[in-house]
Amino acid sequence: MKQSLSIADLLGQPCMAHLGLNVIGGAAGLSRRIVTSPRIQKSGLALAGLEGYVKEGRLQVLGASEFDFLKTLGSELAEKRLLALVCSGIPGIICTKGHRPHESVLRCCDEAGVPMLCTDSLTSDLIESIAPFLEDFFSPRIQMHGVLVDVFSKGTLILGEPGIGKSECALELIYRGHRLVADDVVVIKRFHRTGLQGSAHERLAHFLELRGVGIIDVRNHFGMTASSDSVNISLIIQLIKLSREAREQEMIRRERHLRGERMTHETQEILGIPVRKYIMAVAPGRDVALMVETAVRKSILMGRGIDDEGSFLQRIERIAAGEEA
Amino acid sequence: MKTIEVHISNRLGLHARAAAKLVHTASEYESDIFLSLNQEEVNAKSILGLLTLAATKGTTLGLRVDGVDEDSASRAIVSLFEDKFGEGE
Repeated sequence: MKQSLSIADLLGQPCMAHLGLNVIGGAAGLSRRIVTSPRIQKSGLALAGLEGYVKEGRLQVLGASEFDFLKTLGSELAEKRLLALVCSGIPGIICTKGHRPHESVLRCCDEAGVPMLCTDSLTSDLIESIAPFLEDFFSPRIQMHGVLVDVFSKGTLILGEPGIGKSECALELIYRGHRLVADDVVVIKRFHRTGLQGSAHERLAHFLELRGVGIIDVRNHFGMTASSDSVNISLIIQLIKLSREAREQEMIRRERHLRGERMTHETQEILGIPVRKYIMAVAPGRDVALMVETAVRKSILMGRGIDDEGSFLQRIERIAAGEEA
Repeated sequence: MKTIEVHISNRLGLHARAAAKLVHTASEYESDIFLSLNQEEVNAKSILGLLTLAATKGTTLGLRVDGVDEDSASRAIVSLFEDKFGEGE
């Protein structure tokens, strides 16, 4: 389903309030869900008479330069071009810097139900306010069952079947000074085609459920710094039950590791973006939180070009080759 | 995999105690069990997710059960909903 937004929804956003947007025409179309693109468009090329330059579902913005250009066309042609723009199936028009088009254009907006808005703000201010909101609104998102913790500013997504100990692991991480982002339901958004931002379901922010204890509000227990609204997801920790098969897999991974195939690490795709994944078997005597923290440290070091295993193994190889005592 | 619809008919809806009962029942089965409402799907073996649905009386939820015991698991879940979570109203 293609997402859409109405101009009324847009006007209701707190981030729009300071722009002082006024509806000056086409009010009938305010509640139609017609904005379908996260990008806005400046209408210059369309006003210059070039056809096919109005992209579907994008809000159109007319700033000082557009109005200056219209002046050079003479009033008759300027009006004709504006009317053509209004009737081209666009979701709405915003005029900036206090400009407003001629009454005849506003009447056309009323007839066509195309909202015409105006603001005293600069075009750049308008775009700065509107673009992040649209990007967020239209970003693809999913919900995953898991726990998300901000560990050294790295979003660490802990996955595993119910009852395996994800929340307990998160609690231990909080004890170590890390922050809870989401327990049980993780809302993940992809933004700018590269990043994954994780946050809690709005009804669950800063709550954690521990079997045998109950629901706890981590802010009451640990203070406001124990939770965080959102974090960029950097790695996945998959918790699995310790079984013969899991042990087998662990051995295979270790062998591959020590053969120097370190770059062939496992990944899992979320919204089309691959995320590095560590698989950890949960067993008595294994402190999962400590292992998670160490995995994050290791990935931070790797990001800085520091490779624990690489330098260790190189040294062993040199000794084996008789180059070093 | 089985997907069916379940209907909430008890007066209080899928409130905390009903959700706890549902988790209890779901956790007795090996299968993965999910409930969904308006494209939001949550794990039925975990209580917080169920509570986010805030599903009231009259709501229809999607039930998805996937695993070796999916038949008996879905039967148990469906009868729990039909039984109004044992609340009698």
